[in-house]
Amino acid sequence: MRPRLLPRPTNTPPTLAVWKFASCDGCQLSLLDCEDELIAMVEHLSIAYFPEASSAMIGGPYDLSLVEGSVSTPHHLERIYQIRANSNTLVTIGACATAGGIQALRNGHDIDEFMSIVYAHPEYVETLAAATPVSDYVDVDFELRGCPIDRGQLLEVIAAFLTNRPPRISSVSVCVECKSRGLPCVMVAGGTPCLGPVTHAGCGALCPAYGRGCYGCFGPSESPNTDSLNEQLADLGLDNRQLERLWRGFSGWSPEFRAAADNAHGKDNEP
Amino acid sequence: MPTERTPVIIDIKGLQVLVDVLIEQGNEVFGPQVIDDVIAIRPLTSVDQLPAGWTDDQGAGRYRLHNDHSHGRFGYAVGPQAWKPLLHEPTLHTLSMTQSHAADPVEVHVTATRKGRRAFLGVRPCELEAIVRLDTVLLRGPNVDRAYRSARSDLMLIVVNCTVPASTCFCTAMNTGPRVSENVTIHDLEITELVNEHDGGPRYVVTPASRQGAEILDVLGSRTSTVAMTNQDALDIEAGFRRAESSIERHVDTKELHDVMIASSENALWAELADRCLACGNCTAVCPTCFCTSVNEITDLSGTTTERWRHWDSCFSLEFSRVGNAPVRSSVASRYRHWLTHKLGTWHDQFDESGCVGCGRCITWCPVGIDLTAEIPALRTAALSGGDSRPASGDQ
Ligand code: SF4
Ligand code: SF4
Ligand code: SF4
Repeated sequence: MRPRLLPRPTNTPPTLAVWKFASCDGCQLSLLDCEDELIAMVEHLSIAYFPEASSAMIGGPYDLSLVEGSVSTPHHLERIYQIRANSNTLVTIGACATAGGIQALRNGHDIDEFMSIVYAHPEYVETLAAATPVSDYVDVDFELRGCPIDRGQLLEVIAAFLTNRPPRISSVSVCVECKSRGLPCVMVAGGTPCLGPVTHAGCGALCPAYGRGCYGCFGPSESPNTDSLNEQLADLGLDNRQLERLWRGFSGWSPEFRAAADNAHGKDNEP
Repeated sequence: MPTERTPVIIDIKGLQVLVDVLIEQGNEVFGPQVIDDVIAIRPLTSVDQLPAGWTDDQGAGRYRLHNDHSHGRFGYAVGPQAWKPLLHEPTLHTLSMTQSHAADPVEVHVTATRKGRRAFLGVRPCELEAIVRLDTVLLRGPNVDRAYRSARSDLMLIVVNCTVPASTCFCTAMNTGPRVSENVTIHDLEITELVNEHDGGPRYVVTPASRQGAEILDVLGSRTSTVAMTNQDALDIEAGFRRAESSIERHVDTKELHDVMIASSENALWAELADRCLACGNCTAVCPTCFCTSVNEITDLSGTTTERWRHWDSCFSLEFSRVGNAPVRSSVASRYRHWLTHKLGTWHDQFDESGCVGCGRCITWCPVGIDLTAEIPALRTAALSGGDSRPASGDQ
């Protein structure tokens, strides 16, 4: 994480702000879920803005801002610029804030038509054409992946911020976590389609532990070869429509997964 | 080893007595079992837990079990994990350090290593060879691995020879199976399963391979009926091994393989493999000889305590090749090349043996079915003809 930029009183604990954009609140709940560590956290951080947890709202600048959700409306756009200007360190949390989230399924489609179907008075709705990650608009100091994020990883990011060191968050594949847990591969041993080999670790191989293939909710790993996995999944019997759906999940708007989905879609439309 | 290698024959009840004796002598016994549709290694107290009648169907990127109702308990080849996780744990807490105030000394607490006797029942010949490799690296080098040393001490190794290899096995090429080699001396007992489908249950030919193994066999003889091996039994065993050997489908020509690997560094094949390789690291995790780890130190929220963890790492991970601020093997081609060149080439330079024991796990458990045995002939041809004329692309 980069060093602090804005001046702050040195004899008080650093301030924390938690912001919500287009999201389900699940990632913020992961923070509240750190029950055992919450006491230690408030000893070392002063919670200045966190409407989900406390009604006290202290003005900025903030030492650490955690941002949940994708940028989806013109109002969001205004707010994210303000928050960036008011934050020393800005960390985005979750698939929405880092990759656009499931709501990015609307991107690239006719937004007016969607609104006319969903809302009785679409004229009251102001929206951007696309729901996109925060990093499309402002500098982000660290992106924490997941849908939702893993609370252990969140604590690691906060501990790293407090001690001014880089967070230890590995970007290897989910397979590494599968194998460290001694789980047999669901793809090799069961023929179950799985995005694990190209998905960023962090969940602890949650789905394969229950015999399910990985849905890719932590987004692409450090060197995702989606073309090769597409071919293997096709060999396992997935048609191009199924392939496209698999990629267009919680991290479907990440450039790598989007390209994989477009690829499958393109093949489907070949003459 | 001066022990007299006289084999005795026991039946399945005798095998249970062997397990009982091992447990009575304070061992935790581990053995193969069917768990989640694969052959896995788990604590074992009864021979009923062994995979009766189960056999495996393995191919590149594919593993299936089925039960053919044979009487055998060992009629399959290696499962997804060798004994490596028990000897060289995937994640290990090694140290914690505390300093409450800047003026205080740092208190260091080194995590205790595991204690207690264990017995591994059903170690395959290639797996035993893999333990020899791990011993060389982790015990005989200039730096002894504490955790591995304590996991290896008080350990009984009971080999069960292979009579039903999988299609991914190539131990005959690597000289590591399907029957344990006379040159290996780290085990205690050698067992061969004799299955005659016409006359009831399986029988086990048990041969002592160490003093401890001979002692166990003496106790066994006093507790259950053992019979001596007949000439017919000896002929049956030999016929079984010949069947097993001739059923092995994959082969690797190991002649000057080290030199072939060294001569192949510029081969365009690495880039072609990188088009298929997912860099997922499955091959290194399942390989019984891959030993690489990374060490991380994690501070707590107060910054007063640091925990040091060690975890398996892989040459397929970008982070693992980071030196200073950048990875030295940034392309997948260079990472694949590094892995295979180490296994088959530079391992010889470092440790005077092959890093590959021919167990075939990296073939089966590669999600896209990359098969090293299929790639070596092309490397050899190019190396012999003075190198591949095509430039290696995407490589560094
Ligand atoms: S189940 Fe998925 S995540 Fe686990 S090893 Fe297999 S491919 Fe990797
Ligand atoms: S390289 Fe592959 S075949 Fe050789 S020992 Fe490792 S997993 Fe087994
Ligand atoms: S060779 Fe196979 S198992 Fe190994 S990293 Fe590449 S895709 Fe994964």
